[in-house]
Amino acid sequence: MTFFAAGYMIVWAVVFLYTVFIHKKQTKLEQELTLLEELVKERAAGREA
Amino acid sequence: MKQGLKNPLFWGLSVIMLLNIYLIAFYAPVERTMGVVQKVFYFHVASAWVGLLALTVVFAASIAYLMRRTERANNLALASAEIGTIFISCTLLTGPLWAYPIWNTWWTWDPRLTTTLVLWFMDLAYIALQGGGVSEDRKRLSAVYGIICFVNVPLVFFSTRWWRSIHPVVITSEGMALTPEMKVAMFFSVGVFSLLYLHLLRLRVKSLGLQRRVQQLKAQLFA
Repeated sequence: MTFFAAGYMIVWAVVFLYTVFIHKKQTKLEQELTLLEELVKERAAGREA
Repeated sequence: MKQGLKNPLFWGLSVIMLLNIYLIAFYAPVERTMGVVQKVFYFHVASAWVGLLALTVVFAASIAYLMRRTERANNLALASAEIGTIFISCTLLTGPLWAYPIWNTWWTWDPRLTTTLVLWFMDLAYIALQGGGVSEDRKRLSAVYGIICFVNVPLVFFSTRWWRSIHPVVITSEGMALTPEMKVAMFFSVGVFSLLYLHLLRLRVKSLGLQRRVQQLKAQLFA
């Protein structure tokens, strides 16, 4: 029973950690993207002025 | 599409995963000879299936990249390779959990185990090839390597038939050595893991697309 439970925990721990990794990377990228898009807009506005 | 907990796909997948646990723990009978430890089989086989499926997707996406040179094909190959590594790792970790009580050893250089380990190393090497640089040459080299990696997929699958192996063979020419309830639990498990793979693949491909967009904007701003 111990090995069965350990097997379950390993599979779900590995999958869960990878899901957390993707989520954190996505959040960081979205923040960076928002910032960069604002900078691009400001630069475009600056050129027009 | 809504993110995380707001995404109905997330909840749908969670429900069927719980159903999968129920089928494995309570619906599938306990194997007469091996006992409860045999139930490791349901996620060991499902993980292995997804690992091989992922490498097949890497193969197809690599061919697509060499033919069309699209960023999406490269992202699909890389995402699938990452997820393939995750599930092959699960296969390599859960196998010994069954092997130790049954074979009295955590590991043996059996053809199935050895070819799976080689596949895992090849997968890691693919990810390392793509890491750090995004040059066209590197992507082309990765695509060629991704195609070569696929050679190991049929080797892993047929290793128990081509060479002398002590790894159990469930699918034989005479059918499957499982009771009807075990078959239901196994196919359901394989289905759930496949859906999980597709969900993770979608998320990771989107993430890689965002990464590319960020790099493009940085190049535009700081060129």
